[in-house]
Parts: sequence; C-alpha cells; structure tokens
Amino acid sequence: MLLSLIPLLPLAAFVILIFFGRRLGKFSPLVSLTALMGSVLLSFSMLGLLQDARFAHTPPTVAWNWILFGGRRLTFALLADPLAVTMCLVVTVIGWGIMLYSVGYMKGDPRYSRFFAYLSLFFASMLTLVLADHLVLLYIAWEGVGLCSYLLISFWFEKPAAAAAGKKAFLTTRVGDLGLLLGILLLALKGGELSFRGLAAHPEAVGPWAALAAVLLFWGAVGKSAQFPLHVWLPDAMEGPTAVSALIHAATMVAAGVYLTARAFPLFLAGPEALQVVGATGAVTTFFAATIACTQTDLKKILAYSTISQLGFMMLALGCGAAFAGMFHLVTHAAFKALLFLCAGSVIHAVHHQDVTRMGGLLRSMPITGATFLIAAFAMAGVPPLAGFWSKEAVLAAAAGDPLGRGWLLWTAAATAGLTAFYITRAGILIFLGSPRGNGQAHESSWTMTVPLIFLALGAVGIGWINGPWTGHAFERFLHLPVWAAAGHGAAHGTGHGAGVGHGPGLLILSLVLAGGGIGLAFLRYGLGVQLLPERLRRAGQPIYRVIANKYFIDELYEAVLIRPFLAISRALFRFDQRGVDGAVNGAGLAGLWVSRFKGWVDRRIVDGAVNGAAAVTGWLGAGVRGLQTGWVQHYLLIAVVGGMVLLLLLIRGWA
Amino acid sequence: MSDPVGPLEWAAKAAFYCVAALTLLGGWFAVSQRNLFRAALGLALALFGVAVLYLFLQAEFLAVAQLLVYVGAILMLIIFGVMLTAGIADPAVPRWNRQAVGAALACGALAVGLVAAVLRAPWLAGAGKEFTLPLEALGRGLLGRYLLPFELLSLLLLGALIGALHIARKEKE
Amino acid sequence: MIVPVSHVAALSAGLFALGLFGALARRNGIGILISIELMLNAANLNFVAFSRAQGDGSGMGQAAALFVIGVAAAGAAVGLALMLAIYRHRRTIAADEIDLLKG
Repeated sequence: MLLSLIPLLPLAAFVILIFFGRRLGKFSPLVSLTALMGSVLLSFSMLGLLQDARFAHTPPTVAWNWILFGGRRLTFALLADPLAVTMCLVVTVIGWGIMLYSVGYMKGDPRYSRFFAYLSLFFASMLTLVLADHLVLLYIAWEGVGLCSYLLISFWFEKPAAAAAGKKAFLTTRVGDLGLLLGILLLALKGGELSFRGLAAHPEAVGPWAALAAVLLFWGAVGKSAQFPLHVWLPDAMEGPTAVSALIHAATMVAAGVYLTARAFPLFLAGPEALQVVGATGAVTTFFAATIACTQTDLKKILAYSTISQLGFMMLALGCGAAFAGMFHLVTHAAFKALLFLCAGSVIHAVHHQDVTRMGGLLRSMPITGATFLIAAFAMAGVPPLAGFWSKEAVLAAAAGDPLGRGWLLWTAAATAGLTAFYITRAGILIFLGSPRGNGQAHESSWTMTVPLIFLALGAVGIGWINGPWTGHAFERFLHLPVWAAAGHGAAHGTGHGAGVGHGPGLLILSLVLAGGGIGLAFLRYGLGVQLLPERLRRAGQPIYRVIANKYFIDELYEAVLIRPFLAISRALFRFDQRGVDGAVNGAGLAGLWVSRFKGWVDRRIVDGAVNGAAAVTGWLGAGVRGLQTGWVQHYLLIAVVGGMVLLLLLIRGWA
Repeated sequence: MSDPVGPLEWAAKAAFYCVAALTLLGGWFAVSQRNLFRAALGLALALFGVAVLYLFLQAEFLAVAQLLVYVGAILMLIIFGVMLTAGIADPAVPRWNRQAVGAALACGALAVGLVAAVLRAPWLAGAGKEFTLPLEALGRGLLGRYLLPFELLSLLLLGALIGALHIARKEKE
Repeated sequence: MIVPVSHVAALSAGLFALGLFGALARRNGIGILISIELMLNAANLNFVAFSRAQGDGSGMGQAAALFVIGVAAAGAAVGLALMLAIYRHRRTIAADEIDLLKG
C-alpha cells in the first residue's frame, strides 16, 4: 500500500546515492529531495484520509509477517493513526526544508553525495520508527536512526573530535537502547502486547509488570532524547554539520523518545509509578540543562542544552499524564528549534566560528538570518501569539493539573520557562545586536539557506494556532491521546480538561510574566550592560557559576567512574587473552609438538626397530644359512653322503 | 673256465686275496698320492686288479673290455690330463682339503658299516645258484633286451665326444 | 665261486669307500676324477660278482657293467675337458678354489 512508500522512497534514494552518488555529484540532492517530497505528499494524503470520518477509528495500515517460528508469528505493521501522521508531517516537512538548506551548507564538501545518502537513510529509518505499529519494528528503526546519527555526527571524521563524538553518541544511546530491549523482552515474556494497537486495547495484559516494562522503555527514551543522566552525548554531537544538528538533534531523532513514551502511554497508564519516573526525570533534566545553557559561549552548545531542556519539558508534561501537551510541544519545538539551528548554521557559515562572545551586530549584515532567529527565539521564550506560547502554556497547565498533585513539577517548569526566555534572548542579543566584537565581516547566506529559514519561521509563528480555542482545540481532538484521569487509575481520552489547555487565567498570566521577565532581564544584562546582581552576590555566586559552566562536571564524573575502570578491565582482559588464551593456544601447539616428538621416537625406535629387527633377523638367518652355500662341490657331496648314510641307517633299523 | 677244485682251490683262493689286496693298495695310492702321476699309476694298478678279479669271476669278456677301455683309454686320458695341467706335485700345496677329516670319518664309517653288513648278511640263504654266463648270451642280451641302453650309450659317447671337444678347445683369438 | 660273494662285496665296499674319500677330500680336480673312476669300478665289481653268484640268463649284471664302463668313459672325457678348460681360465684345478657359486 501507499503507506509503506513513505519510508521506502527515502530508502530508495539512499540506495541510489550509495551506488551512484559519486557519479551524480552535484545533482545528488535532487534524488533525496525528490524522494522526500514524495514522502511529504504522501503524509499529507494520509492526513487527508484521516479527516474522512470513515478512517477515524480504523486508520490505514500495512502489515506483513516477519518471522514465523514455532507456533508463533511476528507480524509487523505500519499504522497511520493521527499520532503517526503528525510525526510524519513534522519529520518530512521540516526535514525537507533542512535538506534544501544542506544543499548550500554542504556545498564543496568532498563527500557531498554521501551526506545526502545518509540523510535519506535517516529519513527512511525515522519514518519507519514513527509509522511502526510493533515494538520490535520500532526497535529496528530505533537502531537505524542511531546508526545514522553516528554516521552523520562523525561525518567529518578526519576531525578526531567528530569521530569521538559519534562514538560517544552511539555508546550512550546504546545504554538507553538496552533498557528498551529489556522492556520489549519483558513484555514479550510476560504476555504483554508488542503491537501498539494491541497495547492500546489491552494495556492490562502484562499485569503487575506494566510499570517496570514502562520504565524500561522509558530508559530507552532517556538515551535517545538525551535526558539526565544519558544526556552527555548531545552537546558533543554538535561536532557534526549544523544541518545534522538541526534535523536530528533538534527536531526529529531526539523527539523519538518523547514519541515512544506517548505511543506506549497506555502501558504507562497501566503502571502509573512509571509516570512518576518520567516526570521526575523530565523535571530534573529540564531545569539543570537550562541552567547550563545560560553559561555557555559556544552557540551550538547553547542550542544543544536548550534542546535537552526542552525535551525534559516535554517529558515533564508526559509525566503529569498529559500526553497531548508533550506532543504539542514536540511539534512546535521541532519548528523553532530547527529554525534556530539553521540560523546558527548560517551565522557560523558567515563568520567561521561559533563563539558568541566574538560576534555582535550581525543583524545589519545578515538581516534575514537575524530576523528569523529572533522570531524563533521569541517563539521558544513563549511570546504570544508565536507557536511556543501555546505549547508552553499547555505544559504548564499539565503540570498544574498533575493528578498526583506534585507541586514541585509546576515550579520547576515555571522556573525553566523563565530561564529559557533568558538564555535564548541572551544568545540573540550577543549575536545580532550591539557593536561587532569580531571582525564583523559577514554576509547573508544564499537563497538555498535563507528560504528554508523563512519557511520555518512561518511555521514557528503559525503552528501553535492549530490548537487555539478558535479551532476548538482541533489538534488535541485530532490526536486523541489517552489522558491520566485525576482521580483513580483509569485512563480517559481526548479533551479531558483536567489536563488540557486552559486552566484558568492564572496560568496565562504566569507564562506571560515568565516570558517577559526572562527577555527583559536578558535585555538588561546583555543589551544594556546592566549588572543584575550586586557585587557581593556575584562574587559569592562565582563557584556556583563555574560548576554550572562546566556542565556540573558530569562528563568528568562519567569518565572517572565509568570509562576509566571499563578501559582498565578491557586492558586486563586483553592481557589475559594474550597470556591465557594465547598461552593456551601456544600450549596446545607445544603439546602437539611434544606428542609428535614422542610419536616420532616411537616410530623410530619401536616401529622402525621392529621393521629393522625383522630385516636384521632375516639377514642373520640368511647369513647363517648362506654358510651352507660354499660353492664347493665336495662339501655338498660330503653332506649328501652323510645324509645318505643316515637314511640308510634309518632304513636298516626300520625307523623310517 | 670253471672253478678249480682240489689242491688248486686254496691256491686260487690265496691268489684271489692277493689280487684283492693289490687292488686295494692301488686304490689307496690313487687316492692318497700327492703326485698325480703316481696316483694315476695307482689307479692303473687298481684297474688291472679289477680286471683280474673279473677273470676269477669267469667274466672274461668284461675283463678284456675293462683292460681295453679303462686301462687303455681312460687311464691314458687321465694321464694326458695330468700332464697338461701343471702342478703334478707341489709339496707346498696341501694334499687334502679342509674337510678331509670329516670325509675320512664318514667314509670310514661307511666302509665299516657296509663291510659289516655285507659279511653278516645271509646271502643265498634262499634260491639262487651260481651261474656262469655264456658269452653268446651276453651278446644276445646286448643286442636284444638291452638294445636301447646300448644305442643310447653310443649316443652318449657321441655327445661326450663333441662336448669334450668343445669345452677343451682353445678360444679363437 | 672261489670265494664267498660276501667277500667280493666287502672288497667292493672298501674300494668304494676309498674312492669316496678321495672324491671328498682330494684338492686336485683330476685326483677327484681318479677317485670317481675308482668308485665306478667298485660298483662294477659288485655287479659282476652278484651276477656270477645268482645271475639271470640275459646277462643283466655284465651288461650293466659294460654300460657303466661306457658311461665312465664319457664322464672321464668330459670331466677332463672341463679340467682343462678350468685350468686355462684359473690356472688352478684345486677344487676348493673353484667356488664361483659361493652364496
């Protein structure tokens, strides 16, 4: 069915580009852009199908048998339900824009076609992930996007930092993937459903293990979505091309964890303890990443920590039982974060470095980039009527309406929202406003880079409107995600206002205050140079500042506690292998040598001895008997005579 | 002729034993003389003795044949051979080979045994009487009953003649 | 007969033993031939004596003796020819030096 073409078109593009990329050269992007455009159009057509009332309850699917073993069968399916189609649209549309951007960004790179091949493979995997109806198929695609992430992060592998970053990303997400795998296995072993439709229909099938399975699946999400404590790979992943950062590490791949949690939400609802873990993780991550983002000087690192923080924000919403809020924020975040990254790429392309302290006043030379950046920044800060405002409000509302009444979640979310506004405004001001601190010679980028910027800016502005009250919260109704009811355990669906948007004017005022406050403070501090804290406090806060700026020394902690012992064990095992195993092998060889030497001795002494002995005995006998053959006739005659006499004697005596 | 009787009888006996002794003596010379010519002469004596003994046994034809052939031809041949091969008598060369002792013992035992056996055997205990063969019977026999061996003998002699000639002749240069 | 046949047989045995001894113990080849002739004569004597002691009408004994004489002649001839040939080749007729067939 057409549904399967959505991931298959980019896969075809990958295959073509891998084999013929070098020959296509400059025209390689055409292949991937065309394929992806096909996926875009198909996704829109799926959306159209879903609007038709007939498909509301039975979304289009494609299924096939993957393995049959024993009496069991593993049937994979692609499911185009509203959630999946939403993700498809996000991935394909934003992805297409980023791909177009890459045409200009990667121009002149010696492995140009390979880049687009990898991008296409990524899209194939991501779309499969999003459309999968079966946990195992999702897992396969999960690994696929992990692979592409690795390939693309270390695309410029001649740089040791890039190669190391790719490795780190892969290994860290691997730790998470282990949880995902264990969760799948647990579900399989304990009679749970492995298909999402089955999961939605029978979430109680796995009984008391639901919470554990959900937590394990969530651990996978922790890895992929760079939540604490597996967040360490995302900042390093900035070594890759900025287009990659925009696509994979802002808009799509990292959202996969959030998506998985939303997809498997029935399972989480069946074991609500898991949601506590989700909420806590999200809250910790979002706050701590936001604090780090305030201290960074590398533009891409700011955006990386921002991504981590925003993902935590989504997880926080999910942890409060509001799957829709999380997904809504995912969609808006995809738009403005991608835009932010692409602007960053544009800037870096122009000034050839990434240090915001050396930039300044670039608005004049790069008006389009600057304008779109600011739009995206305000969207993220939550300025109405831009997209981020709506989704952020939804998250705050979810936190406020937490069925478990965890107030600290709301305060964490609020504080983070404030910090978010602060740091992104800081970045924007440092880059685009004021007097140039660097060499100031920058030019606007080419149309292939600026057109996507404008297009994404439109999205950043308008995406949130699909769920406004004037549409009757259409998006929320469309997604129809399960909701954690305030009282009891049961899951309600859809527009439960307990966790929906609009929890009274209090929240509205809160979010506006946070946005405005953050922007204002940043403007004061960085735009006007006003010191926000008195001298004494500033000095007292220096150590804290240093800890935050050093990312709370988490990387160093991991290095000391995990990596070094692991490497030591590896080395010890290697030595054991050398001595022990090789020793055993050599020993076996030596033993073989001894055996053969002994055998040789046996052969020489005994066997040959026997043979030679036989020959010798024969020789002696022969030599002895030979003595009779004197060649002397008289001798023979004498013997004959004597013999004859003996015979005669015998005859006479009658004995013969 | 027939056996003498009366007083000639013991004279004849004595003569017989003398001739027998001479024959043995000749035989001993033939066998033991280092000088081959003397050995040949010893043989001659023995052959003569045997011929005389044939006379005693009333085999006159055979006696003459013996003398003619053996003494006259074969002995001559032997003497020729002796002359033609050097080393008639060489004191340095030992007479006997290394098995002489063993041979002597064996032959001595043989002699003793045979003589003892013969002298003790009960000859003519049963049938059988003395018989003098008339010459005519011998002639008839040779050309009658024993014709085949007779003819074969002539063939043999022919073969021996040719063979001896061939073996003994000087090689062509 | 003048003497008992056993005496003649004894004489013949003695002659035979003498001849045998010579054939076995003599070094000289012609000496060996001489010894063989002696042996043959001893056999002949036996033939004749026994045919006289109890003969048959066909003269088998004497005929046999005659044949033996003939064969002896042939043998002596060939033997002497052999001796001559050997002497020519090897300059010796010592029987114990002619051992080409020694194993």
